[in-house]
Amino acid sequence: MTAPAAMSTPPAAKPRRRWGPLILSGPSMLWYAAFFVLPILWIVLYSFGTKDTARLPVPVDMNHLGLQNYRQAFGETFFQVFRSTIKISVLATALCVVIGLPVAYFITFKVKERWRGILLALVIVPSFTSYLIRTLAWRIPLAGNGALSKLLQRWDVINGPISLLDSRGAVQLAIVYNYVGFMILPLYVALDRIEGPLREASKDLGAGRLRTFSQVTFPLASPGIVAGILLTFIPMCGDFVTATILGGTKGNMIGALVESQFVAAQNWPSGSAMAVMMVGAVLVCLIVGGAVTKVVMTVLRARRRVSLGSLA
Amino acid sequence: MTATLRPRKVRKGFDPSKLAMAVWTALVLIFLFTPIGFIVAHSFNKGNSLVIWNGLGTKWWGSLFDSSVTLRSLEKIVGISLFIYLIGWIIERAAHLRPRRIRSFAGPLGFIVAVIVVGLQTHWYFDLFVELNIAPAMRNSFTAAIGGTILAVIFGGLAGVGLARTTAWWSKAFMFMIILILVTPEVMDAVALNGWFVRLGGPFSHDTWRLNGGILRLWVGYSLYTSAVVTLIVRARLAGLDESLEEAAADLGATPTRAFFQITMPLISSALVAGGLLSFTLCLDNTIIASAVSTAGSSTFPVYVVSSVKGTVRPFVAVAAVVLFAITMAALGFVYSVLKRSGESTTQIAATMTGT
Repeated sequence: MTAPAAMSTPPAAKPRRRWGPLILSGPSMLWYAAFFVLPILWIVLYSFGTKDTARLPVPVDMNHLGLQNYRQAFGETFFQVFRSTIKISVLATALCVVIGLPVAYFITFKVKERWRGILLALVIVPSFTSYLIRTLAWRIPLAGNGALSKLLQRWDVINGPISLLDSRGAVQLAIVYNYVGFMILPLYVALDRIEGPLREASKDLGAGRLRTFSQVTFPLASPGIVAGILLTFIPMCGDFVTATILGGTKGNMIGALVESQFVAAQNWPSGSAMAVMMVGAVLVCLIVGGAVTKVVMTVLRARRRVSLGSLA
Repeated sequence: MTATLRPRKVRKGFDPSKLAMAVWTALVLIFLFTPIGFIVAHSFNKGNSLVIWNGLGTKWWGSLFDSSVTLRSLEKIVGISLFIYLIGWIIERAAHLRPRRIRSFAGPLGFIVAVIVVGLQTHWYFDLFVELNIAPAMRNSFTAAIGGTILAVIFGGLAGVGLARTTAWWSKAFMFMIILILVTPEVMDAVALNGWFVRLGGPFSHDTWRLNGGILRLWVGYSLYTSAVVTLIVRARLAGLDESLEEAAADLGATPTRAFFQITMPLISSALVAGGLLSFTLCLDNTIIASAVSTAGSSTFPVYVVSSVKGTVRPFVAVAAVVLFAITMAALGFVYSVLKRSGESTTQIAATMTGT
């Protein structure tokens, strides 16, 4: 009796392994289909419609589909805001790399194990506490009679109080501030995964520090840089809180525009077209950035190739 | 293999590049803490505006602790948390379990239970933030964050286990979907959900029983991003452990359900706690989805702050912000200790926090 029972166990276990994961993932899949895929598909559809406030609850006329919303978006203020958003985001991402890389490098290679955890915690804590409040807090030093203005007056850089609020500079500063932590962390992770012996081998083979950094450490850290760019650039493009709080009318960003089209203007088709273009622009930026990096890397690698045949 | 064991060499003696980098790191850390310092300082502002300094005073902190109900409730929360922690410790000693096996979860669990129990008893949080009518916004923030976190832990936990245990064709598509959710600009998600909820109507527009339609919208809206985060954390946790434990359970005659609850659940519990706390802080702080999706009756604290920026922001906002900072930091501390005790290195924790 026992033998057949034992024999029958493996076939009984097989279907569990095949269907188990799918059953476990099923709820999430349905959830994402219902509340992520479908809503965004509707946004794409709305972007071809026309505004019709007579229809409720959805103020969109879907009978006359066309590209008018996209055409309209390209002409007006939208395009200007669009350009400034991309400019702010690209500059901020670059600044985050420049500011964050030395910090990540220092934490990874230059401090003892015990300090590494403390320094990382000091990066994580401000990055994960309310970014709305931290953005709002910048209004204090940047105000007309705030700390920064007073400091600049004491150093005789400016005479008379200036307000740095409601300007593009303020938005740029706060965006760099809000995201630099999310650049440092993936950079640290990537640098920490580089194995020590590789860098030591480079040194033993006679490479200077700069050369070791540029030809060994930096290329090996590039996945972290890519992750950091994804983690900072994409949210920056959609950020509208920073612009709303610090930008006034000058530092408008595309996220705020999209939001106002939906909430204030009740112009869903126009807002949808803007949202679709925003995501498209983010993708184009990432693809162009990726392609340029790839070309540059290929060229550099080709120039630096060491032919072992000539040595032999 | 040996590379991970060998301590990394730190150059001894004077090193100008190291000094320069140390100074730079210090400056960046000061930069990161500057606004937090200003907020804490200005919560002690005597004046009526957050931004304009008008002398030192505890006027706004005083209004936080005005009612005696608040203090008594805080005492109760601390008491219940300690009590549950103590029970965990006693069970641990009595059952001869590995040290800290239960205690590591008893702390956060006790705190959560205490908050819920005291929250049901009194409206302590209501009294806490009764100043400036922040109370309803604060309550909405917490209700929405707790609901969003529960959904995230359920969906993310299940999907994380599923994804770690298969290499089937659909798992790649599903992973792509999760990455897509993580990288879609949040504002796109927010407006899409807003339109979708309006179209769906039903429970999303009207109150069902005692559940506010706007709060339901927030739960669903928050759960998308956070469940993706929890999925990745759980998947990463299980990927390091092989399937043999669950197979052994099956060989010993456990049904798949029993194996899941007795073997898999304990293995991923640390990942669930860490992911849950992380998503709680993300929900508490969420502004973009909340301001697009919430209705008049369900606006959260961040939505209140954004709308108050147009006028004068009161220093009480800073007081509330400091309280939120404290809660977030406690949650982050728990995340760190839970991950650390489940044997993850500092790098893995940093990787988990950023989803890389």
